[in-house]
This record gives sequence, structure tokens and C-alpha cells, in this order.
Amino acid sequence: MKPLTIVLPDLESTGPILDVQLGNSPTGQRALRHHGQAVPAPVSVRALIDTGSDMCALDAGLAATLRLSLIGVQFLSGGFAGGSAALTAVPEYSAALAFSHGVVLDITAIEVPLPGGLQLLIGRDLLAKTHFAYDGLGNSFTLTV
Amino acid sequence: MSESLQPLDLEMQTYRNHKDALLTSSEGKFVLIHGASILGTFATKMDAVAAGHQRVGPGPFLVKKVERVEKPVRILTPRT
Repeated sequence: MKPLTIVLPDLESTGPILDVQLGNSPTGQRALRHHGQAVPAPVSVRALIDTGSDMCALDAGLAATLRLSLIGVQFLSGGFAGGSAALTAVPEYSAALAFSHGVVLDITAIEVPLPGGLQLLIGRDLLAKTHFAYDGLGNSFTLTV
Repeated sequence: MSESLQPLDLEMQTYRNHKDALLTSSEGKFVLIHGASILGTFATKMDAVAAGHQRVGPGPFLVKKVERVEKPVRILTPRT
């Protein structure tokens, strides 16, 4: 595991955000190639480390752009996507995240419309595999993955 | 269920049809389902996803945790 420290002068208002590369997992890439399909290049996305989220979430449209594998259905509570408080069925995709210090992690993520500018929520399912330290006084955070 | 989830309708029905047996044999594990076929159970979600890519291809396929009570997902970031 390697630490990645991000310093943000406006950390209090932005929250712990960072840019990561989002793409297909290695096994997903092999599956696409084996079926004669091109593998889209990873894209840079703005991610928020969101300790209030049970799992990672992608902004709407990214899964189709990247041809991510649909691997499940989750039921979202609280009317997140603008609906009622009833449960909403949302798709779950396989993907991989590449951090700027070179570490790559396979993830799964639901797809929902995210607030402006955000393309990825890093939820507690991924944080469970990391060490996350938030230094409010120092306007920085460190994610060790 | 939204249009984007229709490809997994059959897999979800397969899971419901076999849920009792899966709970007996594999509670807490992750089941891999394609169409009407159960392809295996795995200790981790990522192992099931990798097996799905190897056996099915880019998908879709269903990876689902075998649990008696299904927990909804919560996301607390403000909505759009």
C-alpha cells in the first residue's frame, strides 16, 4: 500500500476530492477483447471520498461511455436520484480506478446522477480496503491504497 | 425496474427461484448467474466478477450476495 496525500486550500468547502482514472477492470478488458470489442481508454474523473455512501457511485452516462460490464442491481434508498423515498433499482457495474500514484483497484459501482462537477463517489466499500486520514487543520487528506 | 436493468431480469428471477437453496448452501457468499444458470458461488464479489468475465464475457451477468434480508444502498451526498 502507498499513501497519496492531496492538499486542497478549500478542503472545508470542497470536501476530499481528487482526480482518478476510471476504466475497465483487467478482466473486463480481456472480456471485451475476447469478444472483438474495443476497450475504451480510461477517462479522468473528479471523485469525492464520501464516507456517507455505502458503496461507490458513477455519474450517469459513464458506464456506457466506457462500456463497463453490467454485473448487478442494487436498491437505493432515500430517493437519491430525485424520486420518492421508496427504493429505486439502479445498475451496478464493474470498473477499475487508477490513482495518480500508480495504484489500481478493481471496484464495482452503481450508476446515478451525481451533483454538478462530481463524476464518482468513493464509498465505504472501497474505503474498507484503504486507510483514510482527513487533516482539516492542514487542509489535506491522505488515502493509503 | 429501469430500462438499463432489463438485461438482468432473467438473472434476478433465477436468483429468486433458487434463493432458498442458496441460503442453505452459500449464505454470505456471492453467486454468479447468467440467464437461468447458476455458474458458481464465490467468497468475494470481485472473484465472482472475474469469473463472470472469464465465463460469460463482458456481460451482462449477475453477481449477487446471498443474504436472507437484502440491504438497500444509501448514498448521503446531496442529490442533483
